[in-house]
Amino acid sequence: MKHAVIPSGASLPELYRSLAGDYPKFFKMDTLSKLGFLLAETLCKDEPGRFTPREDRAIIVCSREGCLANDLHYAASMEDFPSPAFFVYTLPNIVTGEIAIRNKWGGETSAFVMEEFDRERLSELAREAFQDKCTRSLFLAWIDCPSDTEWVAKAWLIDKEEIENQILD
Amino acid sequence: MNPRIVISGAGVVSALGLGKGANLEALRSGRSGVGSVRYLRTELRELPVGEVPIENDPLLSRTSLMGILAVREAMQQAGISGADYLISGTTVGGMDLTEQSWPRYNPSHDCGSITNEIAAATGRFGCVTTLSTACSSAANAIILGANLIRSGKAGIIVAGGTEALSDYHLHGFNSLMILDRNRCTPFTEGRAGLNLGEGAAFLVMESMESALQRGAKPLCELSGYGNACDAFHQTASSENGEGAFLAMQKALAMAELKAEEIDYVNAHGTGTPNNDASESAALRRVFGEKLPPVSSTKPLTGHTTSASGSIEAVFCMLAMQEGFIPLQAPGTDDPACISPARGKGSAPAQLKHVVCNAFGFGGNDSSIILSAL
Repeated sequence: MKHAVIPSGASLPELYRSLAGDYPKFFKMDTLSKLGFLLAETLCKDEPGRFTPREDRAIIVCSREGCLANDLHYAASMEDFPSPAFFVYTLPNIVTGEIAIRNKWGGETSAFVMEEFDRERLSELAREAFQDKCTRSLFLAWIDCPSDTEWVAKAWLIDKEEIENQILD
Repeated sequence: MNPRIVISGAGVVSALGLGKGANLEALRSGRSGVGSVRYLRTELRELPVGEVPIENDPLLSRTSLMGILAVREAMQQAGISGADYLISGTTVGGMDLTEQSWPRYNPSHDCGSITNEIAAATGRFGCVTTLSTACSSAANAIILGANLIRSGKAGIIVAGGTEALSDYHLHGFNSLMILDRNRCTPFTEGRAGLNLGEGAAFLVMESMESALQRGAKPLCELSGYGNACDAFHQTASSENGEGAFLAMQKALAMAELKAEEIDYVNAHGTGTPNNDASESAALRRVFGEKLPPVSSTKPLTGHTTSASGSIEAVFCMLAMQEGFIPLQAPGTDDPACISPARGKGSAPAQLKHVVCNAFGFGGNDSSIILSAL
């Protein structure tokens, strides 16, 4: 199992330049999606066969605030002219799509909103994901960003064989 | 051996009316509930919408109100006063109330709080959870419920979705320029986009064994389901319909059915040029030359977004029980798309297995298969 964390307040453009650099769509994303994107980059950038399409990796992202920070940007734009650029990110599951698109992962994608970080719940979600016969690997993340400058962002890359005996860090 | 999962109760509210009876009558006759804005407080009054005929409440979100009605109807039919889980799919949550008090933000209108309100008003639940994957939310709530039953984590589940219209997302969809100024015409040449709608539907799900043991009448079987990511774009679907194709293929594999055994597909069919072309490509890949009758019921209800997966699952169940296919209004087929089943109202048909599609922004695509018992 691999684990990654992005410290709250870190410079996301700098991280993007050091980890990826070849995906300018990054700059259009909301903070939630940027964090999801960078967590996946951190965990998978040196993976053999990167970007070979695969359907056996699922994506689950959990948070407390969902995409609320971006929702407020969209609401502010409604005062003048509603911004489609903000609107497309007013869904907490868009981050899972952004990760899937970047990495060409075609497995299950889910986004969960829950009151607080709950290690047991996340472990349970992971075990449930592996009930799907085609799922061999899981990108599981807790990304909570109430604003564009403060967040908790951590992720795990879990293989099916590992889940039985492991508890998430 | 995985347990067979059955539906033992269902409840629905949509622009077609409150309860299965009103919805069934409208599906059969082809009566549309899409029309001018009546309840939503918005300046976008020229856009047709599918509103549920209930008055606004100053304290409860319409998402809660509609959810309560649908959950009550489902639980009453199943003869239960509680369940191990209540799982609701919603994305708008209580935004209809939040935008009334804006810019004063009331934190009690989030998606999860709406499900808690529904739970408090309808029965006893061991666990209450909310799922938000845009327009596939309710379908995924059903899938999550089925997985909980299969894994032995739960006996009886109430799962579905509820979603009210809000000025917030009506503006949002309008800003994406995917709304039709007239009633939507899925799979039709020159279609301009979708109409937004609202509604709720919930299913009571349990194993066949559980239903028989407690003397409940199973209504139909949830024989397969699949979820896949299109991995293409935040709001657009891929040209070859990869996500939709994979979702349907997975559902067929789980149900151990061949494509030609499917008698009807209730398409996601939103009416946007992009969705319908992409879904058509996926349908052609799954079914080849032998395409079963396909129709979208969204010209009747509008696109009920997060609730569409469970609302249309209930429609499929009703169609199967009563033996008919809901038809789309006559129109000119788009050669790039499949040809939907057209006509006035509905056509009689014996349905054994039906596919119900629900696809969401983020490329989150789900298909479920319901089978007659």
